[in-house]
Amino acid sequence: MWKVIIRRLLIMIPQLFILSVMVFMLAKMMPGDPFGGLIGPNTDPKQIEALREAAGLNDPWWQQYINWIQNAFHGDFGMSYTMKQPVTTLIGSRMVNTFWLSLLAMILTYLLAIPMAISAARREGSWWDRVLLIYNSVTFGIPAYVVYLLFIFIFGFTLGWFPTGGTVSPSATGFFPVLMSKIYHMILPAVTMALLGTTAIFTYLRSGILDEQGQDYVKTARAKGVTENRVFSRHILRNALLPIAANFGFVITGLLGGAIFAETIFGYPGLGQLFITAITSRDYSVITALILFNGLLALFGAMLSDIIMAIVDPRIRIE
Amino acid sequence: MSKGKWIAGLTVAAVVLGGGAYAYHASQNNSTGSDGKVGDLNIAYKNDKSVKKGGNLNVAYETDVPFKAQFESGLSDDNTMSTMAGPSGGALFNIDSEFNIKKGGPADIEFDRDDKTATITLRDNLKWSDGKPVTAKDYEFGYEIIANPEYGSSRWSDSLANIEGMEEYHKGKAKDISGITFPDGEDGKKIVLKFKENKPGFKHSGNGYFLESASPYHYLKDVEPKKLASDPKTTTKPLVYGAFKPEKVVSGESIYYTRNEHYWGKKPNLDSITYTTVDPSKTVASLKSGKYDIVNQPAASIYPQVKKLDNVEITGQQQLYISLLNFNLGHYDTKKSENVQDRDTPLQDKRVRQAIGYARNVDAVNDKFNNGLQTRANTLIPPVFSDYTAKDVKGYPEDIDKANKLLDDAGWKWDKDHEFREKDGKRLELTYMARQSDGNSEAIAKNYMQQWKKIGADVKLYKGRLTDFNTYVQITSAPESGDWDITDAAWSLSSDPSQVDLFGKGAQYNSGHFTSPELTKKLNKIDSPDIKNDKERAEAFKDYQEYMNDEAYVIPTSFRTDYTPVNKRVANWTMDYGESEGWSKLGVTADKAEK
Repeated sequence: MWKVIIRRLLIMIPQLFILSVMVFMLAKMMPGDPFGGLIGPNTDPKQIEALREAAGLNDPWWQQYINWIQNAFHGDFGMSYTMKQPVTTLIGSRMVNTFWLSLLAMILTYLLAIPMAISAARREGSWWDRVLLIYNSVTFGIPAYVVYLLFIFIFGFTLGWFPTGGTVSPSATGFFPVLMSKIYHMILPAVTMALLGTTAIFTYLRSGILDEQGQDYVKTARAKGVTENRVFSRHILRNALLPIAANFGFVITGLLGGAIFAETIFGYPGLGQLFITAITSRDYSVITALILFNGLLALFGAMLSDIIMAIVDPRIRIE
Repeated sequence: MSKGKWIAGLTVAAVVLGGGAYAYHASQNNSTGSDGKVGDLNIAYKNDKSVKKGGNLNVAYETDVPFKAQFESGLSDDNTMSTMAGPSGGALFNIDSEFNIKKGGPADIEFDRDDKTATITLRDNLKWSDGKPVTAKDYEFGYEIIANPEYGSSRWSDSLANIEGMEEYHKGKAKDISGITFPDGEDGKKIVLKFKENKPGFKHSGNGYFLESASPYHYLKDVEPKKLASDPKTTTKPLVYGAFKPEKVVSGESIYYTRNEHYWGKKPNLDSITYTTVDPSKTVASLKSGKYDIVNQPAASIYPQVKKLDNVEITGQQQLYISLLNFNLGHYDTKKSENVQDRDTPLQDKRVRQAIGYARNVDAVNDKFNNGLQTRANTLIPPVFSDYTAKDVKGYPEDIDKANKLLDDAGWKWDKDHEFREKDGKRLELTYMARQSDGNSEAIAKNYMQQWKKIGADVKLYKGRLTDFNTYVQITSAPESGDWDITDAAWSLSSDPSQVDLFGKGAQYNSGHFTSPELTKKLNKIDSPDIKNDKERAEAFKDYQEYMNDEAYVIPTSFRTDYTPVNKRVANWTMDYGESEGWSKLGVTADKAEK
C-alpha cells in the first residue's frame, strides 16, 4: 500500500501545479486589485501606485506567478495585501477557529445522524421513520442561511442563551475562562450546522441498512439462530457503515475547508469568512493560498478515503 | 501636485452607496442648528438620570468584514479600525465643531507665519499607557513610519513634503528629517516643524501638512520596519495615551478597553468598554435585545426599523461626504501628470451637462429610497463647513423645461418622432456607468435614465448592466478615457475642505479629467500662501463653488448624515466633531442596557 500512497502523492504535484497556475491566472483576471480599496482620505494616488509597484502587481502575471511559486516552495505564501500579515500566519490563526468549529459540528452531526438512520431503518415505514425522512428532506432543502439567522434570532437575541458573534468573549482572560468562552461561542453554530448536516449520513446509512437486511448472509445468520441484535450490530450495521467510512476521508479534510455561510452569518472568523473577505478585497495572496490549500485537502481527502476503504473492507485492495 | 488631504474615498463611497443613504433632513434645515440638531436628530444624548460610577459599555461597529487590528495610525488604512480605536485616543490636538485646531488637548500647536514654522508643545503629563512620557521623538517617529518606504505605509502624500527635508528623507537621500527639530532634545516636549511655505489649511485638523498623532519610539524602535505592521506591539499589545487602553484585542472581532491610569485628562466614568463588530443583518435585533449600547454607522436601509425601537435614542451628525454625477471629458496624461480635456463627446458643451443635471429628480429619489435621510446637494462643499459652503448656489434641482431649453439652445433638435434629440445627424447617445451598491441601485439608475429620456437623451447602461465596485475603480482610475459618458461618484472628505486633489489639473482622482486655467487658478487660490485670513479663504471657496456650479463639470447629488442609535441607559453621548473628551465623559445610568 505504501507504494500506492507514494504514487498518489507524486501525482498530486502536477495536479497542484496546474491548479496553482489556473487559480493565479483567474485571480489576476478579476477586476480591481487589493490597493483599489485604499483610495480614500489621506491616501495619495501616487503612494497607492508606489505600493502597487513595490508589491510587483505591475509585472506580467507569469512573472508574478514565478515569484510567488518560488517563495511558496519555501513555505512563504507572501503577505496579505489588506490584512498586512504573513499569509501563513493569517490562515493559521483562522484555521484553528475553523478546525474546532468544524470538528464539533462533525461530531454532533454523526451523533445525530447515525442513531437517526438506525432507528429509522429498524422501523421502516413507521411514523417515526417518516418523521425522520421528512426532517432530513426539509433540512436538506431549506437554505442553511435562513436557519442560521432564525437560530441566532431565537437562541441568541430572544432567549439570550448564546453569543451572536465572535469566537471568544472580549473580556475573558486566563486559560480556563478563555477555553470555556470559546466552547460557548461554538455551541450555537456547531449545533445548527449539525442539525442541518445529517441528510447525507442519514440517507446513506438508512438505505445501506435496508439493503443489507435482505442479503443472503443475513438470512443465513438468522437461520443459524443468531440473535437479532447480534445480526444487526455484527453483520448489517458493519456493512452498512462502509459508504460512511468511504466518505470519511473527505469529511476529515473538509474540517479545514471552512464553512462559508455559517462563519459569515454567525460572525465566526474562520477560513470560510477569510475566503469571502479576500475575494471582495482582491487579496490575491490569500485567495491563491486558500484555493491551493483547499485543492490539497480535496486530493488528500480522496486518498484518505481510498485508504480507509481498503482498511475497513477486506474485499477492496488498492493496486 | 497631489496633496492627499481631501482625497475622496471610493472605498468609503462603496460602503456608503452599498448601505444606501444616511439620515439628513437638510431639506428642512441644511446645517447644524444652534439647538444642537441636524434635521430632526439631536447631535447629543445627555440623559437626565444620574450617571453610575464605573460599568461597562458595549459598543459595536456595523460591518460584515473583520477589522484589521492596527493601532499605529501611520500603518492603518481601515475605517473600521480607526473608529474602533477611538477610546484609546490618538489625536494630539483638540478641535472645535468645524475642525479648527484649538488649545487644551494632549498637545498645542502655534504657527509663526514669518518664520514658516509650527511649534508643537506636548503636555507635561502626557504619558503612554506604560507610564513613560510621550516625547518629542515619539512625535517625530510618526513621520519616520510614514515617510520611510520600508514600513510600507500608504499614508505618504506630497502634502508632507511641505516640511523641509521630508522629501529627501522619503527618497532615502537623508538620514534625518531636517525640518523637524527638538529645542529641548528628543526626550523633551517641544517640536518645531519648518515648512517650505505657509498654507491656509494649517488651522484645520486633517489638513495633511503635519501629523496629529505620536508613536511610542521606545516601544517600537527595535521592531524591524517591514514587520511593524504585523507586530503585536502595533496590533494587539499597543501603547496608547487616550482615556482607555486596549486590554484584550481579538483581531477581526473585538477590543476590550479598560481605564488608562496614566491618562492625562479627566478620569473616565466607565470602567471598561467592549468594542465589537456587528454584522448588518444583526444590528436591529442586537439593539432591541440590549446587546449593544451604541452601534456606530448602521446602514441607512435599516433606519426605519431602528426608529421604531423604544429602548434607543437616535443621534445624528452631518457627514463629511458628497456624492456627485461625473462626466467623462478626457484622459490623464501620465507623462505630464495632468488631466487633458480632449474627449470627443457632446458633454464638452456645458449646456448639455447642465441639461443632464436639471433632468435628474434627486429630491424624489431621496424621498423614495433614502428614508428622508439624504438630501440633494446644492454645491460641492458640505454644509458642515458653514464658513465655506456656498449656501446661495442653487445646484441642479429637477427642471425638465429648463433642461429642454438648454438642449434647444445647444442645437440638439428633437427627431421626427419626438423621441430623441439629434445634432448634425447624430443622436444624443450617452453611456451611463451606474454603480451596483444596494438593492435600490438598479431602480435608481433606471429612474434617471427615464428622466434623461424626457429631455431626448438616449442613455444606455454601461455594458447593459450595473457596474461592481472593483470594476468601477479599475475603469475610473485608469489614465485613458473609458467608454463611459456619465457615472456616479461619492467621496468621503477630509476635515480640510480644499478640493485640489479631487478636481485639480494634476489630480489623479479627477476621473472626469476636466480642467481649465480658470479652475486651476481658483483651486490654487484656496490653498495659496497669500491667503491672509479665513474671510479671504471663504471667498475663494465660494468663488470656486460658483464656477463649478456654472460650468457643471460635475453635478452634486447628495449630502447625508450619519446616525447612531444609543441605548437609553447611556449618558453624555455626543456626535459633535468638536468633543475631544467624549470617551471619558461617557457613562451609564443602569447596570444593564434597556430592552
